[in-house]
Amino acid sequence: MKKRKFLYLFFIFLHFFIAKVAFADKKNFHLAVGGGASFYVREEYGESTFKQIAPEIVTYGYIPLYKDFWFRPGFRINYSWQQPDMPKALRIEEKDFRYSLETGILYDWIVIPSLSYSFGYIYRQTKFITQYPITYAVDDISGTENIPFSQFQLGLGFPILKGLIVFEPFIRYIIVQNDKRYKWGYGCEATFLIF
Amino acid sequence: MVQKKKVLKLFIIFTLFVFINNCTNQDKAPGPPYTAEVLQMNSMTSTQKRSDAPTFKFDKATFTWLQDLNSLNGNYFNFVFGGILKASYVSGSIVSAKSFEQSKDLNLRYNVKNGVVVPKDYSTLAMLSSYYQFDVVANNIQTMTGYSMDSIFSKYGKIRIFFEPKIILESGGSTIQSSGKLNAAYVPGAHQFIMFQRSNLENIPLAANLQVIAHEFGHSIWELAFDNGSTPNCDRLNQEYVIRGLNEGFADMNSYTLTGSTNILQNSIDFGNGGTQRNFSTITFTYDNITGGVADSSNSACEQGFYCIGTLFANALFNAQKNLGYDQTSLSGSLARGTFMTLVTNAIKTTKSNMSNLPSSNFSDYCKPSGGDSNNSIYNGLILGSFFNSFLTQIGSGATQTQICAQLKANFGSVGFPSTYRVGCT
Repeated sequence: MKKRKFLYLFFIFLHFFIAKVAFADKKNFHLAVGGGASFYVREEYGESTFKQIAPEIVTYGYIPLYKDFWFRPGFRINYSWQQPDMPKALRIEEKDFRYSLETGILYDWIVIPSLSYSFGYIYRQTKFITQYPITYAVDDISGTENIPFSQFQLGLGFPILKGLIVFEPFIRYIIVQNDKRYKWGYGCEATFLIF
Repeated sequence: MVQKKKVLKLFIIFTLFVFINNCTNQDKAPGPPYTAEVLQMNSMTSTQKRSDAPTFKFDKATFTWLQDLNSLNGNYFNFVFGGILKASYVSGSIVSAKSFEQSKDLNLRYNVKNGVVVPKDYSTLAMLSSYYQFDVVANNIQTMTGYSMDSIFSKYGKIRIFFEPKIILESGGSTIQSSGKLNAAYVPGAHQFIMFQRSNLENIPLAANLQVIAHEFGHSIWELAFDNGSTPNCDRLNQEYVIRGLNEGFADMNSYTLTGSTNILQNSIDFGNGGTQRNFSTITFTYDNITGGVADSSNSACEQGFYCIGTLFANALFNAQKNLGYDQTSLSGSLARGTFMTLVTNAIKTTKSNMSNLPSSNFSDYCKPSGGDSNNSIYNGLILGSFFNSFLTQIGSGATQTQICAQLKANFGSVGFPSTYRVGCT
C-alpha cells in the first residue's frame, strides 16, 4: 500500500515539476504504437448490463496543428469474445473483430486531454447453438456480417519520459448500426513513441 | 490556415459517415400475422408417459395475436423490456407488486428471410419465443379452462409482460434487491407476468418454455376463478400456506392440461430432487410424509414447502382424471384434458365464497404470506378441509365428485383432509 502511494506521488512529481509539455519536440510528425483494453458496457439483460473486455492495438500519428494543439489520426483494432449469460440449450454467441480509422485533437500539456472520433466496421461472427432437448433447429442465424460503427472518445494521457510512453485512460460513446446494446465503453491504453 | 481547412474537411467527411452509416437499416417484416423463428415445444406423443419431459424445436411459427412486431404489442399482450419493479413480497411464482418504473425500448434485432423474422441476438430470440408461448396459451385457453381470451381481456385488459426487470423488495421500511433470476412469475391484482433475468443455469429458457408460461398463466386463471379476477389486498385466505400451495398445484395442472406433460421443470432447471418432486403424476409421498416441518427441510420426500401441497392436489386431480376415463393424451374432445380442467376451473369459481368451518387464523398480518409452514399440519388440514369441502360441493354429486374425493383422501389422509369435511367419498 505504501509502495503504491509512493508511486502515485512520484508520478505526480514527474508531471508537475519536470514536464511543462508532454512532447519534447513540438514541430515534427511522430508515430506511436501501443495497446490496451477496452470494456464495452452492453445493455443485455433488460435492466442490467454485461461488461465485455476487448484487448486492442492502436497506432497514432501526431501532427502539429496550432501552438500546443496536435492532430492525431490513428488506426485501431480490437477483439471481443466473451458471452453474456445464456441458457445452455439455446444460445447465440457473437464474436466481434473491430477495425477503425480515427481522427482526434489533443492538447499538449503536462497531461494530454484528447477528443477523438473513429469510424470503422465490426466483423461479427454469429453462432447459433442448440442442444437437447431441442431436437431440431433451423439455423438461419449463424453467419458473418460487417457492421459499420463509429465512436467518440474522450481521453486523458499521462506522458512519461517526455512523451516516450503515454498512458491514456478513456471513455467512449459507441454507435453501432442497428445495435443499440452498445453505448458506453471505457478502458486504458499505453502507447510508445516510435519516432 | 491550410491545415485548419484540412481538419474541417476531415470533420465534415466523418460527420457524413456517421449519418450515412449509423442510421437504422432494419429489415421490415411483413405482417400481421408475423412469422418468426422461435422456440417451440414438440407435442407429446400418445405413447409417451405423461411424466416424460417433452422435447423442443427451433423453427418458424406464425403469431396469431401479435399486431406490432417491434414493440411486441398484440391484442392481448404487450411486452415491456427492463424497468424496475417494486414488490412487497415474492411467494413462489407469485409476486406482489407495488409499482413499476421506467422501461426501455425493446430494440429487437432481426433479419427477414423469405418473409420470416430471424432473430440476430439472444435477447431478441428470447423475447420473440416468449411472446409466442403466450400466443399458444391464448389460442388454447378456452379449451383448457372454459375462459375465452376475450373474456379474460374484458376482465384484465391488455396483459403486460415484463422481460428481465430489476426487482426490488420493499418490506417494513427495508429494501433489498431480489436476485431476479431463474424464475417466471405472475403478479395478481395487476395481472402482469414477469420473465426473470436469464441464467447460465437454465437449459431451456424458463421465459420461452411453454410449460412454464402455461403454469404462470394458470395463476391468472386461479385469480379469475378463485377471486373473480381481482385478488383482494391483504386477504387472509390467499396468504395461507396451503392456499398458496393449492394455487401452485392448480397452475401445474393448467400447464399439464395444455402440454400433456406433468414434468414441468426438468427441461429448464436442474435443482436436485426438485424437478422430480414437482412431477406430480409420479410422486409417492402423502400429506402425512411432509408434516411436522418436513416439507420445509432438506432430505425429505418433498422439500418444496407449500409447493408440496399443490403437488398432492394436482396428483389427486390427475389420478381422478385417469380413473374417470379421460383421454390424458388429448387436449380437446368430450372426455379430454381440457374438459376435465374446465370442470375443475368452474368448481373453483364458487369455492372461496362457499368455504366454511375455517379455523381461527394463526397469523394476523394478512398483507404478506403467513409465516406458517408444514409444522402446522393440523391447522393446515383444517384450511385444506374447508377448501376441499367447498370445492367438491361445487363439482357436484356423482362419479367425478366421488373419484376426486377418494384421491384427495388418499393423498391428504385424516390430518390433511379431516373426515368431517369430506363430500362424496365412499
